[in-house]
Amino acid sequence: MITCKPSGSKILVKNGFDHGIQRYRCPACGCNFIDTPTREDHPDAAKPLVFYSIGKSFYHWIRNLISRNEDKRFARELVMEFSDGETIFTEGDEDREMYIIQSGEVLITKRFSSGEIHLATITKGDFVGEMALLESLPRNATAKAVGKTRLVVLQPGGLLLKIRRDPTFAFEMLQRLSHRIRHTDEQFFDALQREISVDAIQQIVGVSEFTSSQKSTPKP
Amino acid sequence: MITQIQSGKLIVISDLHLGSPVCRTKRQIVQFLNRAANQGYDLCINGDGFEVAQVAFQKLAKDVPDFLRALKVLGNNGHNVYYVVGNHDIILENFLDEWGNIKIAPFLNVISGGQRIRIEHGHLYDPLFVRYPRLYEFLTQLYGFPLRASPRLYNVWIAFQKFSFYHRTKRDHVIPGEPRSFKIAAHELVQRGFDYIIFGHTHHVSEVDLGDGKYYFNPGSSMFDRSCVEVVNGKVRLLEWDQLCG
Repeated sequence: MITCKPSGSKILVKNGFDHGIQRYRCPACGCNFIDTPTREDHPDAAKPLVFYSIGKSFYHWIRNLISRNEDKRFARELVMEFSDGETIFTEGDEDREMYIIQSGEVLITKRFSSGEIHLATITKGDFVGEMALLESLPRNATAKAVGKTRLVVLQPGGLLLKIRRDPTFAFEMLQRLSHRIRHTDEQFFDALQREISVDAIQQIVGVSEFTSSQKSTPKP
Repeated sequence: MITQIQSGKLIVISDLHLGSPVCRTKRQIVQFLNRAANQGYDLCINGDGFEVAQVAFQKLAKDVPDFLRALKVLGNNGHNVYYVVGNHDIILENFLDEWGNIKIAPFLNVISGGQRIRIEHGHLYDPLFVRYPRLYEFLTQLYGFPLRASPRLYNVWIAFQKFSFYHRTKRDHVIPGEPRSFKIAAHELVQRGFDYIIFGHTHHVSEVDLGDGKYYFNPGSSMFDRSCVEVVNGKVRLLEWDQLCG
């Protein structure tokens, strides 16, 4: 029942519309008013709306926070900086990380009885240390930074995630590993052919295949 | 398979879709290629050069010979032509491999002026293509029918994409009409030491600053945009065909 609040009268006269809502005039006090529910009439009416607004703002805030981080998901991967000549890993180390060179260069060397030899210099975009990660074996060479070098560090789980997010990385990795095997084979046979007979090569290759299959058994 | 190249002058165009009912720029493409050959550029077609999924065979047969002749001119002038495989032409890999002067690649890592540039079609970063490849293929073929009836429907599709991604574009600073996954993929590649990333696939032309002097480019589709990415001694920029050819 609609009542006039100032006079308390229930006898009202319809008096046109205000923005499409029925307006009333009270003959007792002469005031005009429209019939809209007020907070006093329905104290809980606004609560769902308030909760909805707060919930929506919170949802957007969380979503923005996630999406902002998602764009730079790589930030979760560890990036390390090395200065010139600093050692990244040493031959015989038992760590399992591989590194992608983001900037700078890495010098790979190996110790021999007669001294140290330079195996390769690896540049931006290439990777190093993948053998230890894939085979769980100690490092078989030493890596040192040349100039200021930034490296992305990948661990076994991180490598799988990287491949998931960037499938071409797996392709490039296989391509480089294949290239290295071919290069090593060529050098190996070239060296053997110079000094030893074919029979001896076959014997050595047989022995080396046997020993490499034994060596490559991963550690428990 | 070739993936690493060095080039001092390279032009990247994308998504020609020769043979598609929508493609009406064959003549301009051929003229553009001839002028690029005269100016000493290598060429990279960044995927979807030929339309197989929505093919109108008569149109394909009509469009392709002139285009191949233009590529031959490039090859005869001593320039390299690289073709990065896209999702609409993946079946053509075997045929293309036989055409002497075109070098096929799944993606290209270009070294130019000491900068590393990744050129990739980008369909591997399309969420719909990765999650539902068969549905994607089916929808692509299905969409070919209305396109044959009215190629202008394609503009409606592009406008719809830009509209539907409008809020996300403003929020995430991505190329209008493009899913955010492309920018994320570009970040992943920058992480691996690339300085510039060039994708195609989405047909939305633009460039995005990824920070630290790294950029992501998309030359759009040569069916409409007439844009290309120019690489000259490590300097990469997005430009119109007319700007290149003076």
